Amino acid sequence: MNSTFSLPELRQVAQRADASVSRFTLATFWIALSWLIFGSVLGDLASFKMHLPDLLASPSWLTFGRIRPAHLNAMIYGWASNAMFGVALWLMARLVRTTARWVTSAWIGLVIWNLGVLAGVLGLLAGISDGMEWLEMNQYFADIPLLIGASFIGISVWRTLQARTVDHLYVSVWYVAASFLWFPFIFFIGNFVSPTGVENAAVNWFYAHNALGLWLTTINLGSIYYFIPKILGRSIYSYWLSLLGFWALAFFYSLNGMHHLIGGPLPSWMITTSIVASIMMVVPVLSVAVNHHMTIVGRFAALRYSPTLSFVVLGAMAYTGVSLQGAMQALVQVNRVTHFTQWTVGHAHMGVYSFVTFVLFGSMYYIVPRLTNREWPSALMIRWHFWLVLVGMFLYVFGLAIGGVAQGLSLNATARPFSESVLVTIPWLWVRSLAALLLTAGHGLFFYHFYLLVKRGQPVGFASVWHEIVPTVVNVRKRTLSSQKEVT
Amino acid sequence: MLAANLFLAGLVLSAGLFGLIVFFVALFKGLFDHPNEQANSIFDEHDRRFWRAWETANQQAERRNEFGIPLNPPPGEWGGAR
Repeated sequence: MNSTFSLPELRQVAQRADASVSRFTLATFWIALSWLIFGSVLGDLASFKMHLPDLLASPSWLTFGRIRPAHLNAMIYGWASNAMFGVALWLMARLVRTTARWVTSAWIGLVIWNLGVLAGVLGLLAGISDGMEWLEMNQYFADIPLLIGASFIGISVWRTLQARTVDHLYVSVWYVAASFLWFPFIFFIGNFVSPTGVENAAVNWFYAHNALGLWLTTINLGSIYYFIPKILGRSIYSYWLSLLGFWALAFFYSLNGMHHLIGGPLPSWMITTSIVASIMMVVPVLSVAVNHHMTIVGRFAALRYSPTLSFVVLGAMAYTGVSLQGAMQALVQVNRVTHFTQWTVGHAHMGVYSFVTFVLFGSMYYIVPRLTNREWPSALMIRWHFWLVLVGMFLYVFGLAIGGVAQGLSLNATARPFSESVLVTIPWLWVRSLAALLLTAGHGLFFYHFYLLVKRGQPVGFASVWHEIVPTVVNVRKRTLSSQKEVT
Repeated sequence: MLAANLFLAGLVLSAGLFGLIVFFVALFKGLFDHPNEQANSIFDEHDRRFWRAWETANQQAERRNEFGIPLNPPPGEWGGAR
């Protein structure tokens, strides 16, 4: 293995790495953005139906019970996972300074995965559901293809890691590589190890919570650890802390899922263990938060210059926020108020949207120009995209947090009628619908901007700029060497 | 019921246990050695020489001292439009 490259070699290595994943990663982004638009429309409709229940009530495939899981699955497996496949393979090739390997395997996996998601989501709209949270898609015609698809893509990621030309494994490599081991493992358990009765609920939440923590979270934390130092041009504040964060997450996260079943008919030791593990999550979360904050402190002005950094840093902040919120929710006293309320919906969106989706947007702003050799056409569109989704998300999360607490307090007041707990949420559900429209508008704009870049974008001339840089550096080196000679 | 509980407990613990095994293997293989080099492994040589408009004069001077004469970044280097 060779960990030292000359500058022209570094240029070639980066370009070769980008070229090797270019078509695959762009394909994943196209597919992911299509799912994002589709899932957003379903989400908007589901949101409006919460306070306008007669809206489009007659076609059975548009009823709330079908479009809500279709929205969730389209977003998790269609949007986020597809975009993560593209980011993960690009990141891995870049980090280990080699070309992506077995890309054909990744392509096969991508096709199988998306056929599975398509079949699963259409099945949900047709009323075919497994009835388990995050696992609603049919076990046979959706989940088996998903398992096979993720494994095929994982093989490509791992083969690329195996072919590394560097001695060191940066922390992002740990996150990305581990994700492709954890996901097939937890997905297999969640779908195909199904004890009956109450144990089934335990397995369900083992999967659902780990899908967030050991799949969506890990790849995006890997991205954050790459983009923040890379753009700021300074190393991560504490590399040891970043490793501590990864390993603490690896050890503690898998125990967390049972806190969704507080008050349920499960052994108390199981719930207690989960609560303790949830509180222990403060260790990796704070290690990540402190590390990111200390890396960027004094350089927050960079957010005005870099859309990637704006999205990624806000995503990192949301990760801290949602994780601490999750740890707090695991406390029985808090859970009594927030459980079974709109608060939980807001919490889930803070995780999957404010954290995961923001980081994915930031990653795409950075990666796509490098793959297409074209520049994003419009700074204005980027600004509109950013502000639409940021304002939308604030309204969404805070609206449902307030509405959820009001709902929970009302539910716990046994003297009051149940209907009051419904009525108290309606203004906040309207806020949520308004927020959802803003988010969808932002997604539509981003999709159009992506189309403009790929199909009509102006060549950025990265290659020519690179050629300008190289002689400059070489000249600087020559000057330095000659001055050293003069001194001696 | 006991068997089911043990099964579930084993299931939940297995992911963490697997992580523990990988951790010790990585430790003994030296994959956590040289943290500074690992932290810097994401940078290409030119990365930290790019002129960053948001940095203060002091920060830019530090960068110049440490990495040499600044280079103009290519358009879109920070992930955005011109």
